[in-house]
Amino acid sequence: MIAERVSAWRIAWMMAGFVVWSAAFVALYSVLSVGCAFGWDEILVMGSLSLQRVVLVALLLVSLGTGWVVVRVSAIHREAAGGAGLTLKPFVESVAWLAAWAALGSTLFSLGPVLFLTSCY
Amino acid sequence: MAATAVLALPLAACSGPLSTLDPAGPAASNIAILWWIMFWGAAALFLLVGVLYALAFYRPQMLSRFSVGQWIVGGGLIMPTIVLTALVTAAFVLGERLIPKPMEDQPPRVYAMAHQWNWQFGYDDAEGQTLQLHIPAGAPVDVVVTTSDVIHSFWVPRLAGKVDAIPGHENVLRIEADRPGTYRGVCAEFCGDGHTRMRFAVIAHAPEDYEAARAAAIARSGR
Repeated sequence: MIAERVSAWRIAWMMAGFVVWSAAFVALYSVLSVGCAFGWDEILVMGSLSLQRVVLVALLLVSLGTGWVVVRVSAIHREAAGGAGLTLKPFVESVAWLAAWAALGSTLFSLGPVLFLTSCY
Repeated sequence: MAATAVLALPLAACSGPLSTLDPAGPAASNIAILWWIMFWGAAALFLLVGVLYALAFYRPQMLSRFSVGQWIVGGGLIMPTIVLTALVTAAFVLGERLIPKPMEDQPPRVYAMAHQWNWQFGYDDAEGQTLQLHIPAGAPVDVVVTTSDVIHSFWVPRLAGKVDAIPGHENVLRIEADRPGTYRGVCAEFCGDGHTRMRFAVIAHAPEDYEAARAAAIARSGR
């Protein structure tokens, strides 16, 4: 067995994407309830869009942007470590990169519905 | 015999006065449809996994034609994405239908006030209160639910989903009974040692009988 010492910093990048996803999830869920309690869905800004919708979509965009930064940084780390193509070498950097993509997809899948679902009632 | 009894046990909840699988109105029907979609989806996936498991034992060469990468991407990424997208879409479409959105012909509002441990019902267009909720059949009714003490939950399984009764807050639940009848309701949030006794009924009347029946019920509860 070949043992490799992996620094905590490299391990942390494996979690970074889903840390962004979970922070975005908590932020969106709580702002949704706060907005409904304050009646943001009845305040119209930008034509027919409610303040509630604008705030939620802005949070979604910030989450997707942050997730994209994690994807790019982990891709740069992976290339610097010699990784290329759809392989798991080097293992830690490749998993970090693929997890960042998975987290970005999950953010769009689980939070994207703020674009069209009814938010209050 | 024992096997029949074991099989019959889970089916015992499929009918009866508190069955969500025996819907009597549009809101409860949407919830039942979602339940059946989830049930058959889960059954199909269970069957698929069972077949793969059996093949791994009896026809391993059939499975070894696929590479490990194909199993991981196909079974771990593509299949769950398809299944989750289908289930989430169904849940969104059916869930949106349950929301009491403003209508051109706004439904009448009734008021459900929860106490430890009973319910009182009031009406927009009538003085007085009743101990059972009286509604006209065949038309939507918005139930405004709140409480004078702790959190309770208003649930009439054959008519709609449940909605919490929160102190200082009003939640609105749109219910509709297709036909006249008595539909049982319960408190669905533990609220103290009288919780299990906190039952009520929604009595749906033919539209022409509704006002007289409700007036009689208000007169009875006033005594």
